[in-house]
Amino acid sequence: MRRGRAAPASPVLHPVSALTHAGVLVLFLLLYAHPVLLLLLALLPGLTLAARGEIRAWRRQLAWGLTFALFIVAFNGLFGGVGSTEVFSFFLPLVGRRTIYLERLVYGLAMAFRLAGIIGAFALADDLVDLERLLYFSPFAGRSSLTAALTLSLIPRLNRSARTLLEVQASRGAPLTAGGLRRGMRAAGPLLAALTETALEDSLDMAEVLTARGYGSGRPTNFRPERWHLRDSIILLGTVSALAVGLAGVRTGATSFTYYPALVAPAWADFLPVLAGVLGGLGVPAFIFWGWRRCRWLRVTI
Amino acid sequence: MPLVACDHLTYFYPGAACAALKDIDLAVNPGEFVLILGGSGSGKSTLLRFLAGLAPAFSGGRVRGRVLFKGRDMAEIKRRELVRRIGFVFQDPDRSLLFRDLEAEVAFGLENAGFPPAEIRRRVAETISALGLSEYRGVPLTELSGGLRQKVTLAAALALRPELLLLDEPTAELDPVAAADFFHVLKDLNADFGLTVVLAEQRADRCLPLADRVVVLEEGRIAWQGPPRALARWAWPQHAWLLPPVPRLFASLNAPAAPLTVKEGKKLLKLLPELGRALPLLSGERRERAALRTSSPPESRGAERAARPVAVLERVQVVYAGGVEALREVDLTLEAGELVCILGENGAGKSTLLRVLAGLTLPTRGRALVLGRDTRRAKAGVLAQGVGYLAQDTTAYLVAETVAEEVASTLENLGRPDATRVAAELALFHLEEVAGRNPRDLSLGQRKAVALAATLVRDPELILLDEPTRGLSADRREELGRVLREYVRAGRAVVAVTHDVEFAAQWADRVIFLFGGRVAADGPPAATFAASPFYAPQIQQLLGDLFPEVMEPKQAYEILSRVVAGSA
Repeated sequence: MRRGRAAPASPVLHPVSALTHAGVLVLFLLLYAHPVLLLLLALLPGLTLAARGEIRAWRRQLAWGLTFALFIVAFNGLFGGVGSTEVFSFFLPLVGRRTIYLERLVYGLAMAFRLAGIIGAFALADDLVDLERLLYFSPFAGRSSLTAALTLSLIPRLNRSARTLLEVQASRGAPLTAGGLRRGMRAAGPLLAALTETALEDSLDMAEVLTARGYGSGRPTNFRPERWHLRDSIILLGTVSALAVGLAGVRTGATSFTYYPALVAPAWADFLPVLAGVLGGLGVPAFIFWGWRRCRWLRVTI
Repeated sequence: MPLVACDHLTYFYPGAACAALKDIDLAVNPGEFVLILGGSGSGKSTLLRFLAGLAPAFSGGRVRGRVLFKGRDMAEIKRRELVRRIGFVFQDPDRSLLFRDLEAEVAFGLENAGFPPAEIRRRVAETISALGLSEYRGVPLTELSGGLRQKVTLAAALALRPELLLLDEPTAELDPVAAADFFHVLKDLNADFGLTVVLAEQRADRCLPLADRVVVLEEGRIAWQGPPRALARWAWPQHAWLLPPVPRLFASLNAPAAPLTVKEGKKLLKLLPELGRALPLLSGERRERAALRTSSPPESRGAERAARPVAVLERVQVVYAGGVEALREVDLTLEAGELVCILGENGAGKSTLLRVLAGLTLPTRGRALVLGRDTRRAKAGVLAQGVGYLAQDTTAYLVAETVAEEVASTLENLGRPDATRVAAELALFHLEEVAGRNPRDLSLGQRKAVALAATLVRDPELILLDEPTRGLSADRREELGRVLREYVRAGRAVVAVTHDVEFAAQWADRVIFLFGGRVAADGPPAATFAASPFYAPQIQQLLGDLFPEVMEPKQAYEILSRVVAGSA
């Protein structure tokens, strides 16, 4: 009855270790400017998901990342700052002559890595932690937290509804897609109203389901309080170590990188130890997931 | 004392002039299995919501009368107590499931009801194991089939060990095999654990034998209630559409008893004085003659088929983002003047196939030629001139302020407004009385009718329908079948994706089985169903040994009458 094979068991992480790891990853992606470091950090969530057996999630993430990368590189290549290494130049209608500099291309790539990495970090956190449950039982949030989580889940539903609505109306020859911009604008009003009504109907359905299942009928209990394992300690240790090494790297300038007017990288001798420390520390979850699927001893021990 | 009872319950939805429930007097006893039957908008879902204590607390409106749970007024019982005692399974599992994780989903109700964690862990484990879901621990619920997802919603309700289980058309979204599996679980729960079950359904095909009592609702009123075996006597002939094919056949034959299953039907067939003697003596030649002389022999269908292909799929493969292969190397030719039904399990690729034909999904590999155009080069807006597409989600069709405007807008979009045509279409789908109302204020069945009218009003050459009978009562299904045959007679091609085996058996010229994205079978309904017993319609299961080509009660009645008269 089920589609596909049963997913191999993978270890459950405590939300504190999983979210700390994702948080430090995002912090580094925002702090660092070095393109090599950004590239490797952007690949890390994908590798971790692959080690966890979630190769499909990685592929999806990669598709997003590449799309963004292409867009950013193209945009930055055309309109970025002035560099010193000219690659080629050409004439663009309405814009005029544009010169493509190496610095612009490298900067565009680095920004693309940053964006793809941040998307990946969120995808990884989403995969490791059941955010709805986390919000629901968080001691820092009240009962309204589930409402907030479910509101967030309405966004993809709304997206699906909008897509279906547009497809159906297009198949009925609605002017939104077939009759030019002005007719399309006029037709968009009723469609938006219909979409809002659909969202409201969905919300009412959801509220009815929640009521039927006793939500808000009193103080809930939590049958599965999150447990702290040895693996969480190891991951936290790795993350904290990476944070320490990484911040030291920022302080000493070992991870700095200048794009304009010319590309200036730090000395490899200063950069490589920081790179190894950061990746080694943040790569611990990937190693644990990989080992978990292959090594019984590791499974039993951690 | 009844477990739950309605005491002269009358209910008006907010702002409604007409009551949704009218003077309902109903008592459900502990351990009873009650089946509530009725057409779309008859009040089944509203009644269930009252029995669950969800209405009027949730929906508002005016109420007269009371609902009592174990003799106590439901309005005075705390929500938490009701949740512990009453389980509710909704129609659409996708709208009911809240979490990705199986255990979290099953535990949610228990957590809300305030059970201690150790007790929750035990109940979650027990329930998951009892329903055969253990192997799906750790699998995201979104990856399970529709049947399994509905089983998860059942597990979530059962984990609370309710005294009363209410189900609102729980198999409406499931394929026949998954639906049979779901009803099997319900039967065990009722028979082995004495669980009180109230099940609302539009169609009694598979659940009639499970019930101890049937309640028929009509326009918010209880039209009849009694044991399932007495239903045929009451329903024949005015309410014949309520009856599944086997009891309907025997009611038409004036049989002294009403069989509820194929097995009982086979036994009764031998006991009927004239048939019991005549059938075993029937030679092969006489059997063939009897079948040929029916008023609507199956082979007469398809006579309108023209050797004019309206759509050709050549080795079509569709792979969705994430690597899911929805269609694999599908080769298919659809001709004008044929009604094709596509069947198969949930997730087999049926809807994707329809979307490819509508030009909404482009083949990853291969080619789709629709009305002579390659869909890669013709956008849906262009195909809209000749292709009518009804998606599963009919709310996407409800955009205009009134029903009449909604139907008219399809023709206006195409630049050929025609008030006469709109009026005719409204009449065809019984929508004249609601023509001035907002389509979103209508019942689910009426919404479906509006979407169908809006799709068919332009008289497209190729009509693509995704689950057209879902939400329609049996009488409306029958009418839809007739309407579609009219289109086919006029040379149109109709392709319907459906789980409704009886509909396909009754109306299709051709049946296609799709499994795992591949065409597993393609041919005339009788031969195709005969080769797939799990999907075979009830009449074919009953008479397949003698008349494998007979699939509907009317045909069966005509043949058996001839046998009795000795004219075969």
